Parts: sequence; structure tokens; C-alpha cells
Amino acid sequence: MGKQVLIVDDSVTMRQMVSFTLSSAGFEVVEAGDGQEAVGKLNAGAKPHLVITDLNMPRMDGISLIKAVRAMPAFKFTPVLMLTTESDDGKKREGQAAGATGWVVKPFNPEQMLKVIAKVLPA
Amino acid sequence: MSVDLSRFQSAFFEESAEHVATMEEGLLQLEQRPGDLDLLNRIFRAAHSIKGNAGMFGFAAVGEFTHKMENLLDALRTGTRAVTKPLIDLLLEAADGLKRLLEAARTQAEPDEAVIGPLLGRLQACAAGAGGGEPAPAHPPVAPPPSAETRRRYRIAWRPSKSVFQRGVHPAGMLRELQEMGEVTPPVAWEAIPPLEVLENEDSPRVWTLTLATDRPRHEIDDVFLFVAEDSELTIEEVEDEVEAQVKVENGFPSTSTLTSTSASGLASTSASGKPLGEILVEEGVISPDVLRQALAQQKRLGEILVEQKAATPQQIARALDKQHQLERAAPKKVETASIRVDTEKIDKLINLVGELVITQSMLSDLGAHFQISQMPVLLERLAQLERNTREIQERVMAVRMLPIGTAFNRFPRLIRDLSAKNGKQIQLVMSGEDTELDKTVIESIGDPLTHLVRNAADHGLERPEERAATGKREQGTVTLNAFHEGGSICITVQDDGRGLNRDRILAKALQQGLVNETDKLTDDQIWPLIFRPGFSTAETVTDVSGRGVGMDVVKRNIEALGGTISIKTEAGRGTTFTLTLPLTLAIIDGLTLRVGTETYIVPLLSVVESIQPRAGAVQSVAGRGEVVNVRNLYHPVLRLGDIFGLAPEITDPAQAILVILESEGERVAVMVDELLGQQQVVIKSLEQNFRKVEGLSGATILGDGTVALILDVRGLIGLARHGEPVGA
Amino acid sequence: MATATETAATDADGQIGLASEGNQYLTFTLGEEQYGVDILRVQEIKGYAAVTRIPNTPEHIKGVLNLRGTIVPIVDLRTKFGMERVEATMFTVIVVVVVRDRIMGLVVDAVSDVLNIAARETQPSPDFGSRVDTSFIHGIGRSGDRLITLLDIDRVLSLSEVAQAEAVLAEAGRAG
Repeated sequence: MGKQVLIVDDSVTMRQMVSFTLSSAGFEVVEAGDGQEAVGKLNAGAKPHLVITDLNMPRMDGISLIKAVRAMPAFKFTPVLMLTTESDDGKKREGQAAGATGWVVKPFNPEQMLKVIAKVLPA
Repeated sequence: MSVDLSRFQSAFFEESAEHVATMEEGLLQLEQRPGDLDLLNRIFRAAHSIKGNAGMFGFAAVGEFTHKMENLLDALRTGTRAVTKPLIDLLLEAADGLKRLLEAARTQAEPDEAVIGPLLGRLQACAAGAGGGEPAPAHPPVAPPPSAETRRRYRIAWRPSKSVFQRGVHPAGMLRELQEMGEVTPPVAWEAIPPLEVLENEDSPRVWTLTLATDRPRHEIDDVFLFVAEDSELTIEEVEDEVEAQVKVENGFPSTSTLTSTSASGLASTSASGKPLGEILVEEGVISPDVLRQALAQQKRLGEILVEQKAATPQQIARALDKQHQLERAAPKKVETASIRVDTEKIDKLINLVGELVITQSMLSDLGAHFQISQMPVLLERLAQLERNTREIQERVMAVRMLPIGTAFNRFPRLIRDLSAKNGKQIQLVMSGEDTELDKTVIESIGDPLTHLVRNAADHGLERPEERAATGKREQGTVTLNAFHEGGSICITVQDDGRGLNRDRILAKALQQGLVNETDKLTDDQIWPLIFRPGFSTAETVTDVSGRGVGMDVVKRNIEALGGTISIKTEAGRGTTFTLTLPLTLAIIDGLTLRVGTETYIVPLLSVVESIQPRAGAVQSVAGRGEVVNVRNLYHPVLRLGDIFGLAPEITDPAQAILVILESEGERVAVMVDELLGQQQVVIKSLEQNFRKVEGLSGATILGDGTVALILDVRGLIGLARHGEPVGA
Repeated sequence: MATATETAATDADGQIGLASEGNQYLTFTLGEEQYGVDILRVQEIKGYAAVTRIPNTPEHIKGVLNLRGTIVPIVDLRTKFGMERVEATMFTVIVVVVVRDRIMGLVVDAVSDVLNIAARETQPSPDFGSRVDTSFIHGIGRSGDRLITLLDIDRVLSLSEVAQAEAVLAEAGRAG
């Protein structure tokens, strides 16, 4: 089994696409529909090597999720990528301040996404 | 590696449709609660999700449009624009425009510029008018990479701040990336890089200084530091050392250059392989898309060229094209697979039940292995348990296909809002029971009939405000939609508190159409169903919002096609209620099992009016051709199932047989069978999947013993009875 | 039943042959005659079981059967080929084939073998004149001294019996 990635997005389509891209590349994928669900999965024992999160989500948004992840000792140094759009420039900074490792700008193609992942995931 | 995401397109369109519905619903509520920030955020998220996803599939027009919507919504969020009715109108119109754009993208059609263009302009003007303005494009377009692939040397100094480590960025990853781009000197001392836990707590900041010799463009080096540029000190400078680098290239760096070249070619192949020349030329800015289109239009077809060159005759080409066409048709069509989203909770429950089933099964196996007659009570108990498990699993599996009817209701608030405006009426819509679940297929099919009923209620059922006031009613009329379970069915009511059906006008129209005679004495309950007759419409003027040739007859037919029924309750001056009764699912029906000779048939219980054992002489032959039976002074044609299906019935004397009175679309037929075997739920299986449609049959099912029983098509049987022609046995 | 791959290397004469040289056929008997169908079209072979008759269909459509939850039409090849009807025996089997994306069963007297018949061993079907419908015969194959009628399975149930009839019925249904 490859490394585990937690993908958090309220859009099912986006989750499916990221999930498909990652599993094609040999990752094990865990999905969550919003920040709260993601935190739930982390508390319930998910041990992702990487978290990819959307920013705009119901219940708990991406920024709050990043803060929550950083506050969990087990995931203090786990890379967290946020999915942003071009117009979210301010959000990028906000995300980084919250502890995001990097970002992937939508739209992206699978190769770009995998490249960014390779960048932040220690070999 | 290349990953093809196009397979997710149908999911995208499905999800987008939901987002648009969310927007519409949200906007209508926002009009009532302008200050509700949660609501506004929900609408914004819907637009944002569509935007983000659309880009993934290259639906640029959708992306641009939702971006403009988003800007305006953002202006509302930040309070630079206030929620007003015209603004809601504009956003609702935009939601309609978005639907069109999505549909155009789905069908690969050109979007209707005449609609979309002005809408875009208005959205932009509206957002800008508030002073919010267009955010400048976040990034200027990236400069094209320098074409020269000469090797350059860069000196890089990087001093990350602690926050870099706290964000989970590991220097090793970046150093590895640099090393993959070319030759790093001095070589990276991997073992000297401590884990993040240590780095985070180091007192003196570390500085990495190195030289990179690479043929990759400068921006790729910048990209390595993309995520750390803001909280690091970083210098990257090109150093003049070209000559040495060139020499080294010629010498050929055994290890690093191999690594670099493989990854570089891998990237190149994913970006350009398999693309038509024209596309590449457009991408590289050599020609514009228009020029390409014109050039392509001028291009001759292969067939024409071959004919011109006398390499083939036009006939040969025509034949080949014909064959190509056939092959295309024969090729497995890319069927748009319908998908359904299921709560994991539902699946978990199912898995638990299957677990129980497995336990029951193994207990039964154990029992069977050493069975003694004294264990009979245990066996019966286990069998009862098995039945329970099976039934529960069946229910749960069916529940997987169940969706709340709210998904069919959610279009109505918008519809009522539009109809109120157009008719100059004040209409309140009350909905309840939105959580009532029913089969996805049924939900998809009742949308149109329901819409028709709701429109009718708003257009014709409800009076104008002054008329209502004159009769002492509230000026605002109410349309009520309600859904609830009743037995194994679901009932949906569409109710208005308007004027009620007009008995005289319906009668007059029915007379005019020759549906009834002047001498007929009709009760109210006989009059109301007349509006379901084809071509019947009492609306004095066909309004632009309802009608258009679709009548109540179509509504009734659609409901009946779903195995449902529709009924009317109306009271003059008080209003009208239409009640739709629908089966929960189309895949399973309650059936009545019949026997003719050695054959077993199933008939849908919903179609069965009653079963009778006729008195001697009750069945009479008419003009030596057909037979009729008199049931409470109504004559029904008699259909001997044995005759029309070419079977050998056990009973030929009607007085000994059973007549099952079946009804479809208001017509009745008495089907003569040997025996009724009982009622049971059956799962409908298609005959057409591997065979074809057979007249008089709607499908088949598998009985408890594994044999196949055929399901009668009541509509078809009535047709057979009418023509009286058994199709050759 | 030997599977296709096990017999692929050996043909009827015991010589080594490659599957690509000809086609593999599942052969079966109807009366005294040997028939063959392309093995790639055979989905499975199942024992004979009572079928449910379908009213108002041609005589050679024996009825339908439940094949693991799907309803599959069963064709009586003897009737189809105008041979006398016989009672089912313990050898009677149903050869389940795939025809134009549809699954159907053929009732045959007994299955014989899987043969590799080289293309050069097959001849087009001889012309019997108009008395005999040979449109569903793909050719005559020879294996040793045996003659085998190779069936064009797509034509055994002609278009008029399956797909087109469906279109016509649908049309009639709308008109009525």
C-alpha cells in the first residue's frame, strides 16, 4: 500500500478526480467532505502522510482545518496542500499563515497535482 | 503518467446541477432573509465549486461566468452591495444562464452568446457599481520559457525561517528537487539534515548555499521555492560560468544527467503527445484559433482526395463510408451511465445486514449437516430468521435507490415566484414532506407532471387578488405541496385554495367535444375526471406560462406509466387538490399471481380492480365475436388469456373460471384465468435486454423456485382485447 | 468440458496447431449432424432445464430461462433447422452464446468437443438452392473425416426475430 493521502473537498466531483489521480499514482486515498469530517477521520485513526484540502467548505473551512491539523501533535509536520483558485491570492497567504505547506491552483491537471505532491512529500 | 479525468464529466454535470439548485433555492430564501450570511456563504460556495470544477474540464465559459457571479456574491458578502429584489432577479437570471452554459458544455454546443454576453456584462457592472470592482488577475501570464536549452549555473542561498518547518516543508524535498534539475555542488549531505522536529527547535537559523548547473529555465528554479518564498530569505543568481558548464555537458555527467533527461522527456511527452498539429500551433501562438478553423474548413475530406486522384471510385468511397457508419453504430455506444450517490451510512447498514445473513446461513448449514427431525423447531426458527434477514436486505437495497422527494420539489419556489410576477397574483408556496424518500427513477419522472399541476394551480386554480378580496379571501393565495408515505405507496398532493373546478364549464366543454351526451346524468365524481381526457382544456386563454398543448391527459398518462394513479378533490370557492399515488419503486411491484393451464403469470396489483367468479350466464357473446361480462351493470370485454396466449387452460367454462378485472388509463378488461395463486412482491426483470418486447407482456420475474414468470402488460392486453385479434399462437 | 486454452494447442488429429491458424469451435450434435459455433461466442454450457414459454413467438423460441438473475431466451435449434422434435435426454444441454450484446441459449442434443479448425479446412456453405435457408451457415469445416456445419451465430436468430421486431413493435405501440 502506498502512502496515505487525505483529500478534503465538499465537491464530490473534485474529490473523485483527485482521488482517482492519486490512486492511479499508487497512493491510498481517504476522503472527507468538509473540515469537520476530516478532523473526525484524523481523530478516528487515519494517518495520512499528506492532507489536501479545499478552502471553501461548509461546517469547517480549509483554513480552520489547517489550523486544527497543525494543532494535533501527530500531524504537526504533515504536509498540507490547499486547493485554491487564481482569485484566492489572499487566501494563499492566510493558508500559509495557518500552516499550509503549499497549494495547488485550480484548474490543475493530474500531472501538475502529482508534481506538487512530489514536492512536499518526503521521499 | 497521464491520467484522464474526462470520465468525471458526468459527475461534474450532476454535481453542478445540484449547485445551481442550491443557488436558486438560496437566492429565493436570501430575498426573505437578506442578512443571512450563512445562506450567502452557501450560495457563494455553490458558485465557487462550479467554477473550480469547470476549469478542470476546460469549460472556460462556465468558469468565467461563475467567476463573475462569485464577484457579485462576494460584494454582497462584504456588504459593498445590498441584497435587493433587482439584484436577486439578476442572480436568478444568471443561474438560468449558468444552466444554459452547463447544458451547452455538456452537449458540446456553442453557448448562446446573445443571452450570456449581456448577462456577463450586467453581472460585472453590478459588482463594479458597488465599488467592489474586478479583482485584478491574480497572476500575470507566465512568460514563455526561454527556448535556448543551454546549461546555466545558478548560485542559490536559502535561509528558511522557522515557520517554514512549522508548515511541514522539509528542506530535503526541495534539495532533492534541485538535484533532479541538474548538478548540485557541493553534493547534498543528506544525512546532515535533521528531521523537522529538530529543525524547528534549532536556535541559529540554517542557511543552504549551493550551485546548480541546469538546462532548465529559471522559473522552474523559482518554482522549487514557491511554497517558501514568503517566509524565507532567498537569493538565486546566475553565475557566469558557461564555458565550464558546456564542457561538463560534453563530458556527460554520468549519474545526474541521466536522471535529468528521463524526467524531462517524461514531462514533454505528457504535454504534447497525441495532439493535432493545429492545436499545438494555436497553443504556441503561431496561429489563432480562427485561422485554424478556417484552414480546417478548407481541408478536403479524404474521400474527395482519393476520388480526385482516381484511387477510388465514388461508389467505393460511398460503400466504405457506409461501412464506417455501420461500424460506428455497431461499436458499443458510450452510454451515459446514470450514477447514484449513496450515504455511507446506508452502505454500512447493508454490510451489517449481509453479515447477519452470513451468520444465519452458516447456522443453517450446520443444522443441515446433522439434521434430526427433533430439531424441526430450530430449523423453522432459523428459516424465519433467514426470511427476516432477506426482507431487511431487500428493503435496504431498495433504500439505496431512494432519494428525498425534495429534489423534485426544489424547482417550485422559483416557479411560483416567476408565476406570481407574470400573473400579477400573490402566491405563497407551502411545502412539506420533502424528506419523504422514493425511487430515483420515479423522482426523475414525476418532475414534469408535478410542474404542470403546480402551474395549473397558480395559473387557473388561484384567483386574482381583487377577485379573492371580493369573496372575502386573503389576497395571497396558497399552493401547498405535500408528500407522505401511505402503505407501500407514496402520496403527493398539489393543493390550491382557489376557486375550485368549474362544473358547468367542464360539462359544456365535454359536450362540445362529444365526450358526454346532454341526457347523461353525471355525478361530480364522474365529471372531474373528464379533464384528464385528451385535448380537454378549459383555460379560456392560453397563458404564456402554462399550457402549450400539454394537457392533463399527459399528466395522467405519465403518472400511470409510473404505475401510479391521480385523483381530484375540489370544492367551489375553496380550491382543488390533486392526489398522486405512486409506487415507491419501479423495480419491485406488488403482483397478483395467476395460473392458466401450467403457466404462471403476474399482474401488477395496482391494475387489479377486483376478481370475480361470474355467475352462469354473466359472460355473454356479442355478435358471435367477442365476449363481455356484466359487472354491476357495466359491461367489460372478456379476454381469455388461454386463447390469446395459445395456452391450454384447465377451465373453459367462464362460470368455473376466475375473471380478474384490470384497469389502465380508465379502460377495463376482464381477464379469464384458471386460478388465483396469491399476492407477492416481485422484482421486475427485462425481457428486452436479451430478447425483445412481447405484446401483452411488460417483463418477467423470477419466482421463489428459480423459474421465470411473465408479467402481464395491462395496457397491451386492453389493446389486444380491443382489436380482438390474438396474434398467431 | 475442457476449456479453450487447454485444447488450444492440440487439434483433432493430435497435431500441434496454433489457435491463430484457424478458429476454435465448440461442436455439438443435432441428430446425426455435427455443428460448430465459434468458441469465443460461447459464454457457458448449462444443463437442460424447463423453460417458461413466451406467448406469440415463433415456434423455435422455446421460452425464457433464469440465468443467474437475467432472463435469457432459449432457441430450439432442432425446430429452427426444421428437424423433428425430441424429448430432452440427459445429454441435452443449453449452449449459452452472446449474440450482438444479447445473451441467449441454444438447445442442442449433446456437446461433442472443442476443435481447432484451420481456415484452409473450411469451405463456404454449398448452395442447396432456395429449398434450404443457409444464411446462418458460415461454412463447412472438416476435422479428420468429419464434416461440421459451422454456424454464423449472429444469423441463427436473424435480425427480424430480435432487434427489428422490437423496433416495429415499439412503432406499433406508439401508433396504437
